[in-house]
Amino acid sequence: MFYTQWQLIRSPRSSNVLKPELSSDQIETARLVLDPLLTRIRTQTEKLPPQADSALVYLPVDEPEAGQ
Amino acid sequence: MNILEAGQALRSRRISCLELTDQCLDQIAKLNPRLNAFFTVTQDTARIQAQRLDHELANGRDRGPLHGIPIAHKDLISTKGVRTTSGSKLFRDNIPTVDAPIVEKLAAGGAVMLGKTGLHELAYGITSDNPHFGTIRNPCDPARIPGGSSGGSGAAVATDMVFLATGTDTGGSIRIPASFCGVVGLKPTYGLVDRSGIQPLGLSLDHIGPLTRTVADAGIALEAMLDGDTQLRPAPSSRQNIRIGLPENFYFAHVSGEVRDAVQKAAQAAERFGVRVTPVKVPDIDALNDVGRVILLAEASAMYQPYFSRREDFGADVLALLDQGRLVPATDYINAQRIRKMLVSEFRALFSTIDCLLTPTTPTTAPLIGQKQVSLDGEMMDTRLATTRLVRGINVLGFPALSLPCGKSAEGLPIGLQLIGRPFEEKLLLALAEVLEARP
Repeated sequence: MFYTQWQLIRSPRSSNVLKPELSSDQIETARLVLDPLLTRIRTQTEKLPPQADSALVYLPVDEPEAGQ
Repeated sequence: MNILEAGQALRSRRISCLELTDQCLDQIAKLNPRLNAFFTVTQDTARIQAQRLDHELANGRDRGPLHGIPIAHKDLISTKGVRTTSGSKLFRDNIPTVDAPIVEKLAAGGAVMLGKTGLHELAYGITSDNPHFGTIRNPCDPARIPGGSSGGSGAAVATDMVFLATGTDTGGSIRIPASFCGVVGLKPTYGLVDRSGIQPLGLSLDHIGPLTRTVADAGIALEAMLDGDTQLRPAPSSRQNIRIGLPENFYFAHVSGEVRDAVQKAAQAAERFGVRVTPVKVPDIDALNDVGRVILLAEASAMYQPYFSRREDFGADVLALLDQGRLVPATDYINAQRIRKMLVSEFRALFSTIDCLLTPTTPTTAPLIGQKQVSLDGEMMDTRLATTRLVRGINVLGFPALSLPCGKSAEGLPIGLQLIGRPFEEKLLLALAEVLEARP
């Protein structure tokens, strides 16, 4: 079954997933710092060759365990 | 006294392991109330361990260069039965049931653990001004930060509380306190030292390494931290074969005059010692730093997602970073990793013409506690971003880097230089650092 974006947002079942957990004030505060950074990353992304390395993600050699 | 000298004193019976441990415990008792370098002191178990090691030496069992040497672990490294807080309210009562492998290795080498050193909350910051466990202070000037996140480790080593303290480095957290406190800090190649049992921050950026008083001690500590079958590339047989790249761009811009002069004097000294120094143009470090910030924001927020509902348990600066990380789209995280790969290739190309880069570690000496901005060439910059701008990118690359004291400011504050090498060439960095350390 396919849902429209509107249905997903309005669906009670999915609302827990899609509802922002931060308040609008908290989001606005975070975005003041984050948006310029993401803008620069997107500018850098445009410079990547179109056929950039297919093994694209730098993975750690092992998975550390939490200290607890 | 350094680890080598202490080892000689122990083996010649001029001092016992217990006496050495007691000397360090006395130093902690004297200075820690003012500096807060230690969050936990394990005095009783340390003295029992030291007596056991004395007994071993008397019976001909010598575990090696760390036998009887007092050390400390950063308080996000799991220590069996000893509280491990990660500097966070979340883990205030966390008592691990097992030791992290790095703790096991150093204990097997005969090191005596005196306790757990303080850190910036969750290792997510550079001031070590911890809202839950108190402010850690710089021993050179208690009104100033020791750097972070391994601030307690830097302060403890600088004041002879211990000979060696472990640190972690996700965006400069070993090298920054080394620079601000005037000690040696080594961030080894990514993955070289086992990160198991250590509270993660940025899974693809976290590194573990030592802070020590001397370069030789850092070499001893690194050897003790490695798995037995690890083979590092040997250092060149002659210093004339070492090629230092001195950056023409980025690293000496927006740096205080005193720092610039001290590091350039060290480069000139290296030349006088026969090391070849050549000017080089480095790849885009601003881009490298942006990549590091995006990756860390996303990885750290992923790590602490289970605790997002406990907002009141985080300090304001850490909470702000976690909020930012929650808003990083997956597309930007993945593209940051792709740019990372491209920049690593560019750095590998640069390192085909040189053996290491020589740069300042931090653009300034230690800022004051609570100082929000620093002035660099007349431009005001956020203290955290300014302090990490010369070190953060190296975590993105995963290359080894070492911070070494190279002088003092007019105010008597330490200045650090940074040596950056190719992966698994820590021995070359250590050999070169010993040359620079020995200069008059």
